[in-house]
Amino acid sequence: MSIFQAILIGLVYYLSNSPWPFGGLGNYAILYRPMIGGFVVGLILGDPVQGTIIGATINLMYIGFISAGGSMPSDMSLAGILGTALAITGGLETEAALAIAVPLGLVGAIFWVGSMTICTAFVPLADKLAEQGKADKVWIPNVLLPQLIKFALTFFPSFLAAYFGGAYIQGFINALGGNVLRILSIIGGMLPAVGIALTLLAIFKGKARIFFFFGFLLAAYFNIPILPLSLLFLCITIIYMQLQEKAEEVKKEFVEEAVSAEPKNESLLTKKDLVKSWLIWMYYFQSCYNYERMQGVGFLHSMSHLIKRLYKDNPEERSKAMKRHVQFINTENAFGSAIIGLTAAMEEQKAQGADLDDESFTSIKTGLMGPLAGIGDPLWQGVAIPLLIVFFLGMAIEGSVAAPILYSIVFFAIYYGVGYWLMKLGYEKGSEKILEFMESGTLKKVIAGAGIIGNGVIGGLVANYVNVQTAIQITQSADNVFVLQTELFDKIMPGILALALTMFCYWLLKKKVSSLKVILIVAAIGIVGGLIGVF
Amino acid sequence: MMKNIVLARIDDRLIHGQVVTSWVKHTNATNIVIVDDPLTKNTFMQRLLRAAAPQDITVQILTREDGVNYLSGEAVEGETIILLVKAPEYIEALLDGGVMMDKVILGGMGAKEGRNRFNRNVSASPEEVETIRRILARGVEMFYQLVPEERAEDVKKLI
Repeated sequence: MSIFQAILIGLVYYLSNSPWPFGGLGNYAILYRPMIGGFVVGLILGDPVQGTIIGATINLMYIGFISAGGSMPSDMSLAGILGTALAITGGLETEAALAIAVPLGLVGAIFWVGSMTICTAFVPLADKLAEQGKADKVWIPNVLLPQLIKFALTFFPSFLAAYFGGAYIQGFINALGGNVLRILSIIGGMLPAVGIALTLLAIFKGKARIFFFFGFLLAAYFNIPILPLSLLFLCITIIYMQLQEKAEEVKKEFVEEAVSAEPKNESLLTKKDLVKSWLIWMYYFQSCYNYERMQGVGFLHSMSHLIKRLYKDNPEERSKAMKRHVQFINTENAFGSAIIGLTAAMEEQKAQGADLDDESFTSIKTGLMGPLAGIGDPLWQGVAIPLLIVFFLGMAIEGSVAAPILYSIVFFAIYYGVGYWLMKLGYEKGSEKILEFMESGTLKKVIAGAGIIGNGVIGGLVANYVNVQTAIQITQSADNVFVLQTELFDKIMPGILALALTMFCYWLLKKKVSSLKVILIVAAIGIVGGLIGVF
Repeated sequence: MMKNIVLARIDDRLIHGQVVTSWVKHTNATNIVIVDDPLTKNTFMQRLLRAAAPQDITVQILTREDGVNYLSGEAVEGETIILLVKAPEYIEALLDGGVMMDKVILGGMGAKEGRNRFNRNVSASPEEVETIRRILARGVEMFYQLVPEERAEDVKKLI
């Protein structure tokens, strides 16, 4: 790997964790995901197809990944980006690549905690700027300083690891010899079972469970790839929900009491102002994510454009407005757009003389932030991203570079579409309509429906991408060798061992064994089984 | 037998991502009980919190007094409760009222006027730190933990 390529890889890792377009932006859904990160690394190293294949395989581990409200279980972007880089340079098989990528993910999570801790140091500067009413300087504590820190934290380690790892990995792998590589491949074939079991933990419940086995059987016996399987289960989900709807009486027990938005006077803000403010929120809401105020500085940054416009000739009011928006807030990005729209409308009314005190802003913001994240986090991270990833994953593992590109476009369109719509809803219709939207039940239906399609497709993943084959042969005579895998297991049910391993991992996780321990247990099974010749 | 509280959590965002994606699943809870006096008078927030909870979860929002009565009541077969409050004073009030809790999770308390940094995303006023001390002194364990997958930090060591 040339030093230039290593620099680019370090940059990709930084971008995947940064707020810039296609990076961490949008719920860490684009470059952050190994399927896309792997593709880009492949481009840099001159083999986008192999990069996509390796990245997508690594992605199998992280389908059920959820990071909510500042918690970070494991850094899949480092696993995807550095894992793919090392695997391509070292000429590793995809499955062995997965085995080396997983530990990288665990290391990467450290950078997250480091960055959230350090960024707290920039809060006083944001406070000071608010005090002075300097709205056009907010980008310094929100973007410049935290991104410099983030760059230092992510770029240098990954650049060095790519450069030196790339230089030595070839020799290292040659030194390891065939047997170690064979065992790494065995482990890599098994590891997706852990990723899938982690996903099952969230969705393998109630009546939807049978669809997991249904999906597995369809894929195992009829070799149905993931994409057609997803479409099939989409239809099944819709049919299922329609049947259920008829059986169920809609009950509503909510107290009807309106908290409506004030009708607006003439508007002081143009559409352009609103969109700019909203885009700052979408990009930089988490740029200075820190333990003290969480997204507070990001919220101020997105509001400061409007504040500047509304209180142009009134430095005192400007400072007051800035101070009320640098406060603690922590919500989900796209759904939080509703708060941006609503707050913009309230600021506009206040600038026109409406009687709104700081408390009324704080109470609506802090009231909405939790519930919006309560729907937004599971909807994006638990439903939309994993389903979309899985939808394109089969294509990607087959080596289609169109898969990561299409995924990114489709996700981006949905994410920004929903965010924009919610921002407008908040601005034009007020809190009552946001509430009605959340109560409408459509969202919960989507989340519930996702359980069915999710189980079905995940079942298909087990059959397709968990690879456990026994090597046991029983020699009866010189020309009569009984191969257990092909002559027994494959005849009864192809992938039966993969299913068994996945259910075993699920059972362990259900028993509250940590995912790290489950990974180690699977690795141990792979090592021991590989050494004594079971696999 | 008292009500089965599977998780008692101090978290001023109440129902949000961490609770919905992790805790509800981890604990297999059927009910969420929020004890908070001002909320019982705020129908907007009540509707919002109900809307944020997963479809099959029952949400109750009670005053301290009602909270004590309800949580000390007879356990219902198959009912598991997540108790959410915004601040430690509610935990103390419930303990005073005779509700049994052996462990409380400290999830998040937002920074605001009068509060200082306590640990990561938890800020607390001096009075709130005192309340936490008193709760610990009763032998109730308290851990800082965002999601169940994360290692729990003993609050005793943070104070």
